[in-house]
Amino acid sequence: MARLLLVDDEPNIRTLTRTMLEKAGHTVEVAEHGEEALGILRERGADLVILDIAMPEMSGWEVCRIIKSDPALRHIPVLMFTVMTRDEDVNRSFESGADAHLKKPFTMRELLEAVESLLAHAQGEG
Amino acid sequence: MKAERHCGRYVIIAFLISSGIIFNLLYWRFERLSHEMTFYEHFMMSPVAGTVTILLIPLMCLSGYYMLKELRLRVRLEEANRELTQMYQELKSVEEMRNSIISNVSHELKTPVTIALNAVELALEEDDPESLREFLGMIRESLHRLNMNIDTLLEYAKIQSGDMKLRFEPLNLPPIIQKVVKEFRPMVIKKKLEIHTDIPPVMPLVRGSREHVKLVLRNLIGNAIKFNVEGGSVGVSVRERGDFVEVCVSDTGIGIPPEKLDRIFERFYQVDSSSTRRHGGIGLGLAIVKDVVQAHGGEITVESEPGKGSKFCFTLPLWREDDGEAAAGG
Repeated sequence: MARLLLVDDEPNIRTLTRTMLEKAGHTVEVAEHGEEALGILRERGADLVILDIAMPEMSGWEVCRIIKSDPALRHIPVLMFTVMTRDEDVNRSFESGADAHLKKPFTMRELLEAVESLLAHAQGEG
Repeated sequence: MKAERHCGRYVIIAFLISSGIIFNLLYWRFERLSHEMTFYEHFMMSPVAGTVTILLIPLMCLSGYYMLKELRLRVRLEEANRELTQMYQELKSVEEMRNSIISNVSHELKTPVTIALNAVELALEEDDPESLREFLGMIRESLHRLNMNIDTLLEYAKIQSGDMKLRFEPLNLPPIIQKVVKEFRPMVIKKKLEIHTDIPPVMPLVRGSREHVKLVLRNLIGNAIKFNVEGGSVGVSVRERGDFVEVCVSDTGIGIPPEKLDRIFERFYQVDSSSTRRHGGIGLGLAIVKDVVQAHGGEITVESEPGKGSKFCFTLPLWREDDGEAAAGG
């Protein structure tokens, strides 16, 4: 199954989302903030990044922009998940290069569906 | 000022030109007897030249006057322009503030809801009692957080509508403070903080509304914990100061930049107002605190050094004999 990187500053959300993804058989690594996430990605890569937007120091948008402008990481699909659901926010996610935008609160099914569809799409391309 | 400089320049130019003409004229009049007059000298002496000169001087004055007038108008236009730009920027910042309020409030309300919903979803499928307990713990914590945020919003709505019902009574502060400090024990332990209290066991009574004073203490101590660094410390002290009792809450947290100090009591103001700020909160706590302290006749002050910590002090008036009579009478 896929190796996923989950980035969120909220510990409870990290734990819960990780549990959901692991139940579906994925391997999940977690990062608390953008800096840590980029470090993990550069070192070990991932099949998919799940990114929160409202995080300390570096926003999810910024992290996504960095991923998408790095030739070595560009191919990794990015799923934004956030409580920010205004059109501007969703647009900003796509502008920063995100592949999908999932609103919080989400159900386990919505999360897994978004993850599977991105993974399938990435595989089709690769 | 730029405009004043311009005015001066025009006046000097007008003065130089007109005085030049007069001097020129006088010179020719004086010199004419000493030698044969040239055509130019003849012309200068003629009535035409005199008329032209006489006309020229008031003309210069007139043009100077209009130049000045135009200048003044230009200055006024510039001012109006500046004002307009400023107003536009203010409007834009109000708009930005409105957007950040919406995202703050929705973030603070939706994050605990997300946690609770996801925990419920997982708990429903969980058989292991240990994990189940963990999920339930998360649900409880997020509901507490949600409740606190809703309380803050409601309290704000009450104050906004002028419906802050203060019931003044003689308050003995030390036990009230101790009790509030105790409420934060779990958070203090979780963040590995030390809490130092300097509270004399006996203090004169103050005039205050019990629930509101607690609200102020909760906000200040909560902030001191929230904005602290792990392993830091929080200090709470009380002392008598003239006709008031002063309560101070200090922390060893991230501090507040000096240029932002006088704005922190504004509604919805957040020191870090970016959409990705580090510390949650709706941005109403200190605004409410200030309103409450002022409604008591007290004052709130803040000192802070970025990277070192902040210290908030507020005063409450001492209880006097006639306060009781006033309360009984009212």
